[in-house]
Amino acid sequence: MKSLWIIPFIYFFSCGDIPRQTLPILGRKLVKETIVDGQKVIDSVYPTIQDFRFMDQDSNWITRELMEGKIYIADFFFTTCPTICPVMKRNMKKVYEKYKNDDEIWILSHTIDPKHDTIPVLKKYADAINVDAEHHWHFLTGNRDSIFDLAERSYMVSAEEDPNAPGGAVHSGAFILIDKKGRIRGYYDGTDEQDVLRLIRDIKLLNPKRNNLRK
Amino acid sequence: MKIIQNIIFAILIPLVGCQNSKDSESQSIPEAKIVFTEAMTIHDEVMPRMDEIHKLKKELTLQLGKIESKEVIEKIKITISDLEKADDGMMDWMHNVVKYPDQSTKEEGHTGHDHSVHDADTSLSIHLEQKEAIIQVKSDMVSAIDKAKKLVNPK
Repeated sequence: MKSLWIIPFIYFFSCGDIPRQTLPILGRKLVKETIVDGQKVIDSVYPTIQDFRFMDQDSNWITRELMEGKIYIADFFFTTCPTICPVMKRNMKKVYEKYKNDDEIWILSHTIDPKHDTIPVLKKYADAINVDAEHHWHFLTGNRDSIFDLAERSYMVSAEEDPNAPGGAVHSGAFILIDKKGRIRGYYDGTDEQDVLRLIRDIKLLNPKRNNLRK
Repeated sequence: MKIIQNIIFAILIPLVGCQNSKDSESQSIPEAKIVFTEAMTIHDEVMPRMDEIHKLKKELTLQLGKIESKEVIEKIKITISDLEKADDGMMDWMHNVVKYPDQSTKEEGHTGHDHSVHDADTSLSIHLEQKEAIIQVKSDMVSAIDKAKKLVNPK
């Protein structure tokens, strides 16, 4: 009888999973009531990225629907940006190099200067930094108001909830991590190398099974 | 003796001349760099307000559909146009900016990360001109934002 105290420890070490680190889902959740088999079920619904449709450097349409089931990192830039963008690109390239062979992890870089950043300009830019859409770094252009709206109403809307999120909106230098369901999972300062390394680690947390298989 | 004197003069004069030209060059280069840095500081100060311009423009466009007064509609249209011009002014300035050489990454063995339209330059006149231009951009932005705010929140 005295030895019974050991049972919870055996369970913990043999059956119990060691808690896995998870990323928070950012954004104000809505509580939704549904009836399943006559029973009231309360669900939490988290905000997701709104619909979008932009063209990439290879003239492919990139849409919200296409991104369903993929993890991606979004940022905002323009090719002739004189200040933070060169640093951001250098850091984003580290993310690209790490995940370029994983079809489930994409990068969407939205230009905030579509007037100058036409598709040929974006193509030239991608070629110059030696990245391509085949390995899923897509440089997107489209209607400027739509790009700003998407940034303000979807990507940056929860920025203040994350203490790590950089200030500002469109030109903040933020890298935004989106999960397979289109939910925001983290903000990272694209100008800070250490924060970008945190992003590289956090991407793995969104894809644990895939990473375990690779090991 | 005179020959030796002449030789010494012949050596000293060009040396002094070279030194003077080097001095004036070393003075003008830092000044151009200072001016470039000042221009970029002004840019960094107002750039975050681009979001504000977009929000105000959206807000005013929404108001256009709700207002009947022709006079107010005209005011709103002019203000939206001012916001757009200020926004364009900033984007064009950044697109055409000439960097000071050691502030550009174009020279870093072509890392491919600096896509400036123009090559970097040490010319003081260029940097003074573009500093004046960014001061004008700032003034246009601040004035358009203030005007728009008064229309969005009339008191």
